[in-house]
Amino acid sequence: MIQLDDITKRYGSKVILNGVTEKIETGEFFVILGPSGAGKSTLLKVFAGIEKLDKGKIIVDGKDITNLPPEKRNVAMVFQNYALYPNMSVYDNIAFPLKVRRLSKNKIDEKVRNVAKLLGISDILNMNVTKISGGQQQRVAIARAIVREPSFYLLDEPLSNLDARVRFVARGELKRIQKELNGTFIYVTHDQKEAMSLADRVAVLHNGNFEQVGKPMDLYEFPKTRWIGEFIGDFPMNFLPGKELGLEEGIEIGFRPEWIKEGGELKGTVESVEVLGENVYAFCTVKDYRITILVRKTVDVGDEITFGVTKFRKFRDGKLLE
Amino acid sequence: MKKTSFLLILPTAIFGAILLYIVFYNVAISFTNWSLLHPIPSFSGISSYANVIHSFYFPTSLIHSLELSGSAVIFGNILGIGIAGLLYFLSSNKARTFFLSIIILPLAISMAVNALIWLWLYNYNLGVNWLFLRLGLPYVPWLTSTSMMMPSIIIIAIWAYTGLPALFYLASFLGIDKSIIEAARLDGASSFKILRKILIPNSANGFIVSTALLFLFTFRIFSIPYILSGGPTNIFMQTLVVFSYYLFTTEFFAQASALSTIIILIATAIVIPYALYGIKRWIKK
Repeated sequence: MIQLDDITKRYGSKVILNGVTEKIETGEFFVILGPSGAGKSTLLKVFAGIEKLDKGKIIVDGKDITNLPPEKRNVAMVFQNYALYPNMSVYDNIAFPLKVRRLSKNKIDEKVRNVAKLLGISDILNMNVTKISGGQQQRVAIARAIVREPSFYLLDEPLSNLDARVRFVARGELKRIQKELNGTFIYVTHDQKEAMSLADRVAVLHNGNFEQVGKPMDLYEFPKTRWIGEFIGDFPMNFLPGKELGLEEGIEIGFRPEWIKEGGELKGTVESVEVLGENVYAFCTVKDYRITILVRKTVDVGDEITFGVTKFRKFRDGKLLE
Repeated sequence: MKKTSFLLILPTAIFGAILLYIVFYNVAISFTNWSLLHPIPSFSGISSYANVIHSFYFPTSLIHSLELSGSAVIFGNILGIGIAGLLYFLSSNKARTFFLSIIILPLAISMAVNALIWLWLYNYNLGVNWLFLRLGLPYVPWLTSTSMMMPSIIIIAIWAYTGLPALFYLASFLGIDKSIIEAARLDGASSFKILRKILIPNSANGFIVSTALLFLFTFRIFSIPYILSGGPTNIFMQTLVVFSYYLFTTEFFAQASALSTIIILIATAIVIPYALYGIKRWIKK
């Protein structure tokens, strides 16, 4: 188990991390999601020990590692650009952490070949890492992380440099590897689809803190704040003042594009349309509010549309009620 | 587009033309017999070259030049890597800039001044020996023993030029993606291991540039052997360039030109393939 206790990090007067506190279970796939510049990578570097903390503690399995240097933490990291050693072959890249630990040649060979088999890169072991494809480089980076059996893994957007098709496959692979190893994965991304499909739990990093930590579906269904409602989902959550639905003053209602039925008390004008397969999303204005709804029929720009809200969450001052 | 590119190469083309004119003029003289004895030069084939090469001084000064440049290349690279490694692992950028400027300072001083400073430092009773006496070490006959004369010059050349490889290696090291170094740290590698296994193997460009420049700069070095030897006639410190100057002062103009041509050919033969290879690598990146 990893405990984060009041993690604070400043660059000059700029506060990047502002008292992050959380517990991450052993064997958990924990995704840190946030927009660019939210401090995700900084947080990961704090885990790794590359960045020093201004305040707070990191405790792994009861042991305080806050002031340990990176090489003493037994943490493995997969970097966004993979950070492979360009002067070495695939084999030497994977063997490097073991060689540094002065394992015997036979032991190293055995471990490297096992890991290569797990990741399906046995046939490129003798190639130079600069001569292989992006997908293969990513596997080598993961293999190098796995081979020394670290206490936990840090992954910094490892899929973002792959093209769309390969990324989709790699995502599934990553989840399979995590399950096979039963490893604790701390995974940073700005891609919410990736977060939703990989995570056991997602932590949304905003303003230097975890604004919400929860199961992917909970984040979608019960966003703790208006900001999260707008951040999570293919389309932001819709917000309307409560009095439009006859609720008391000061309450806002939030609803997803698909939480509606056609025909009802609300009327909007279609501003633009996005078609995703069978689904048609209509962007409308309802009394100066911008609303996105999912409709089943074809609509055109300029059409009048009536709908009712079937499911909604109540917010006060941008925070979820109940 | 053609017009502007023509304008851009114009200055280089003019300087190149002047330089080539001088070089070829020098080559032309080397094929004559111009000297004190033949005030009116006439064509004499390769006789000047033959005379220079068969002279007693040519092999010794060639060996001295190669000793000097070879040592500068070897020790310059080793020290450059060491210093760049130390500077790279400094955590403070300010400290790095400070130490780097100290190390490249000798480059900013005129070589003639360097030579004069070291003439004092090599004094038998003052300078380095004064320090050695305090440390209980024996006196070293820096400039008074023939076997110590070339090593003394080599030490100055290394001292003066080590800033150059240090600078290029540091630039190469800093050019390596920072996350690669972080990855190696996380893999458990010490700073020394990172230097040996990652920084040095990925600094081929630094090696190429350092080696080429160290060789060139020390091969053409004149002031240091000239000033330390007290004149071009001291054959124990005579390098090819000093020998060429000696031939010139004694008015063997054609032979001096022939020797200059030989020096240019040696330098070109060693440096040009190196430079081409280096540029090719750099562009490929």
